Amino acid sequence: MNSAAILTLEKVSKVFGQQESQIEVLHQINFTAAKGQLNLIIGPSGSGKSTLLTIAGGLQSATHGTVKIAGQNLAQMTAKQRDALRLTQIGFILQSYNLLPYLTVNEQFTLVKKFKKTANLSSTSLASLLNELGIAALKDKYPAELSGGQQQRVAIARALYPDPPLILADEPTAALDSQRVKQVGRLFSQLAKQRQKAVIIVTHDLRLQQFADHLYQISDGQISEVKQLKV
Amino acid sequence: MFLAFKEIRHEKLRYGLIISMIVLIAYLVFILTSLAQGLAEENTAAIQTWNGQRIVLNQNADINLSQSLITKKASQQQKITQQEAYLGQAAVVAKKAGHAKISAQFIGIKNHQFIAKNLNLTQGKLPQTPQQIVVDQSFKDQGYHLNDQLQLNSQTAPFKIVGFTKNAKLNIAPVIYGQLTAWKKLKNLTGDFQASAIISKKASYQATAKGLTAYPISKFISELPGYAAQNATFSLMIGFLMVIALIVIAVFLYILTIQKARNYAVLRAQGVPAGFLIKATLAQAGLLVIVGICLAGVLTGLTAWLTPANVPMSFQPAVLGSLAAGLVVTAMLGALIPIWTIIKIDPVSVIGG
Repeated sequence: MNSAAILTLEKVSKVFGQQESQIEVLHQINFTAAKGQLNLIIGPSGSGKSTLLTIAGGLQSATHGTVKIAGQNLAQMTAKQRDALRLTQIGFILQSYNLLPYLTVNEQFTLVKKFKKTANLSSTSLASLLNELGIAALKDKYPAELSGGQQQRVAIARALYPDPPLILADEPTAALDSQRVKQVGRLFSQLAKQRQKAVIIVTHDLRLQQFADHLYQISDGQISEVKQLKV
Repeated sequence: MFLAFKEIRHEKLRYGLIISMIVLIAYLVFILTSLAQGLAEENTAAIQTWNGQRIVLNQNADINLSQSLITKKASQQQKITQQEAYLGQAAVVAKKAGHAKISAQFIGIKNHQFIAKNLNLTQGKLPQTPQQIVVDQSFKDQGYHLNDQLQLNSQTAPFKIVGFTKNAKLNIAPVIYGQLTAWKKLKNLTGDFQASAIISKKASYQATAKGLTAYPISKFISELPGYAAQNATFSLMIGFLMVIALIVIAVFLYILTIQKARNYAVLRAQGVPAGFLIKATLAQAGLLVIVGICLAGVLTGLTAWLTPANVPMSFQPAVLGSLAAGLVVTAMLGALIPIWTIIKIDPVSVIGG
């Protein structure tokens, strides 16, 4: 196993339903994500990529196989321990940013600090992150006062604020034009390289593949690493 | 508390409306309670000042003071010590030229017995003759003064006010204290009758004479005409308002939680414990109801200040305080449904949307 591996999936399968109505959404998945690398998992709707993300993030259990985050086997953890693990080890960036509408940008981070009292970014590091994401001037604004792109960057900053080693992103470029896709792709690549994060993006957007260190294709619950996919 | 406070501050109109509902409900609860308390006091205030434990009435009087008569013969068979006092009751109408008529309760007592001795006079002295009376303070509020002469029922001989006393109300009517001999005249009784009742300070006092029965004062009070029905009606209204408060808070918090479910699911996905969100919801319910109750308290205080003295309302901070605590508990119960919604939130629902 790669010593810098943050996430490891070994022979992971996920089955929904019972008996005749059983559907195997993931089949014998082997996958590793290491620090400093951007992993792009591309697949069409219904291919199992979202299920893979929820299992990798400890939100769902695998039916078979082993999922390890930072060396810890999720199957051996209680729901509460998995909550704590997500809080410290994983930053989720979701398709809809879901910032709390009644908190300013600054208060979105204060909220994180409320339930995670240790190992947050220092105020200097947060300021530098906000500068890096170009949202430092927006700290007193409410989500409704921000553009979609600005909201996304706040959501990214919120995910990074607890300084987790693993970033899981779900369709971060849905409904963005090509120029914005490039910006987001570069941003995620920088996060992986400069902040030494293991970044996993699940998407059906082929335009992101140029930024990936590892490109995977998922189809019918099976995953395979590929060099390039046709746009 | 952080989330609760920030959300309320940001959504001022929405939460303002919820708080105004709580204010109205709490204010109504406080006012109804004060009214119930006031009416109850006006039913029983005089009885409370007698400090009796037992009352002896004619057994055929159906525990009703106005229906009870005790004969001299029967009274002689009862042991009367310093712990017992005779009491004669008659419904009267007090009249004086230039003044409105006042329906009152005449209570005949003996000056050497404990009821007369314990009478809390705010002015004047005890009646020394059958034509002298001590009246409730409310007579003063209606323009009566010491030494005023007034007529009771159709009695031609006038009665002179020689004193005023407070908390002298019985069956929501002011009490006129006089001598037992005057009571006999007012009731047109012969010399065969002694009183309407015997009040005893002893909890073990028994009726030994044939035709008499002793009752605990609490039983006597609960049997006062209309008293129990009135209290039950108020209790029902107050209880119903509490239930309405619970439903209003539960419905509002439930709708608000449903609206925030996706945001909460994201927070849950990030590892925020459900307990943190539950605490926020409880804090929100608590904040709403406490602010609502405080405002209702201010309104109630203003009402108490502006209410004329003759309105039968009694504002008792201890009683209103416990009702306020009850409303807070109600709000917490109302928060249980949204809490259940939070517990059931599935963070998976926000992935792959």
